[in-house]
Amino acid sequence: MGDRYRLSLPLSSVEGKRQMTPTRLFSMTLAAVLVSASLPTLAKPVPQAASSTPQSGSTAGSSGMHATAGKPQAKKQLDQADEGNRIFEQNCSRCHNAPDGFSSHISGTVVRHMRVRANLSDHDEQELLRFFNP
Amino acid sequence: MVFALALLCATKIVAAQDTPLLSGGVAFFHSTSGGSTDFTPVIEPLLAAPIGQHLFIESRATLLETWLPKGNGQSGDDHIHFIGLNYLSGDFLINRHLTLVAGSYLVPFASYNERLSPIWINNFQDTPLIASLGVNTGTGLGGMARGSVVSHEKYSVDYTAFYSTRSNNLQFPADREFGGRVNLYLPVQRLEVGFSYDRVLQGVHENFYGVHVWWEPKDTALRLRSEFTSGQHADGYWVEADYRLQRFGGPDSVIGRFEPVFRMQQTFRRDNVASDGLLPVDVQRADFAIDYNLPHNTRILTSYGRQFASTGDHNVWETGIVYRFLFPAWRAKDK
Repeated sequence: MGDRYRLSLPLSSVEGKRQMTPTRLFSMTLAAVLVSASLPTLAKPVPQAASSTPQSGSTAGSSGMHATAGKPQAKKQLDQADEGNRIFEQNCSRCHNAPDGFSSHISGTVVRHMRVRANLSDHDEQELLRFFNP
Repeated sequence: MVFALALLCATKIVAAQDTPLLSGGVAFFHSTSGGSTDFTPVIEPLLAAPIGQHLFIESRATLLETWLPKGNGQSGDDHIHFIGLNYLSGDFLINRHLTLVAGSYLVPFASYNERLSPIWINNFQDTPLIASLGVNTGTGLGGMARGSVVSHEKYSVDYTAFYSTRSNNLQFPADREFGGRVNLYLPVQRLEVGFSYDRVLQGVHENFYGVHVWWEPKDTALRLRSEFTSGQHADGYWVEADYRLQRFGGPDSVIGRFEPVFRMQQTFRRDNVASDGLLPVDVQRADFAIDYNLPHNTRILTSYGRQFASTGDHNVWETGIVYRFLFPAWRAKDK
């Protein structure tokens, strides 16, 4: 690759050069269109209450529970949401913006990924999972 | 094939929240550096799949094509393409303090390579000048131990230690090396300090030392990140500050979606032994960026940079758009 400092790829991986043929260009375009078209079908729409949409600086998901639970239970859930939010801010949004939302079906996988990448403790992992699934 | 079979088996034993996911970024980048313009569409998909309670498979790939002008006064464009895996690792969660990683992994040196290199995270298109110092090929092939030593309300400490063997394989290039990193994080101050070490065990046997400091003042949208790395033949640092204008109507307002970024970096060449990927002369560079965070996980990245070196100064103009996706690898059934 001409400029060593573009993108984070191993240098040895991008040294080969080939001409872009019309067939390859067509194949890449077709692949991109197919991937784009399949995204909405794969991204299963999730009910708002079940979706995980962490927002920086908020206690997402806690207000709804507060309305239906008893006072001590509600306070406990609010505390847990605060704790989860704190852990999210300190370990996840420190590096990247919070995604707009994602299916609750992958919340455990997201947390597992964060446990490894951010070296989360056991407690932080559990709180984060609870935060994504109030 | 084995990987695919393992994933299929995993579907029957994972919980509803543990559905394998596909994430990553799709981007189109443009860059004009010293009068030379190139265009790069790129897709970086990431697959993460838990298998049972203790095993986790993760892989990231890159598919890109770059159009750039031919050199030596020739007319027309050249094309460079790359399709391949960046890493493919299996993580074994042994206990609360230890996770073993086997396979191809991102070298855990300093902070950039592991945390900021994905195209949907980085505030700039290009890597810092010192990105190769201590990281070498960017990936290791072997084993790694990592985990949380202690996690407390007022402080937490985590560690990483790795050993990599040499690989000339196109998909998983790696150097023979070992190293590690220790991070101290102070949640109240929102301050992180990390120390990294890497020793290359082939060619020019070099030691690399790295320090990174990240600070996010509480209740602000300001992020300060920095890294300093010292090698046997060159040193360098980068400092980056970004501030999202969410004070003006919140993070989802028209103004609040803007994110100005500034990055300053320098490299210092000690001798002419070019074993570390840095330019053979001292370099200074300043980059100014205005990023815009559109709804639906889409970002527009624009930046201007000026690079100063004894071999010549030049401007770097970059624009790009990045879409980050994150969804289950297949439709999951509720339990």
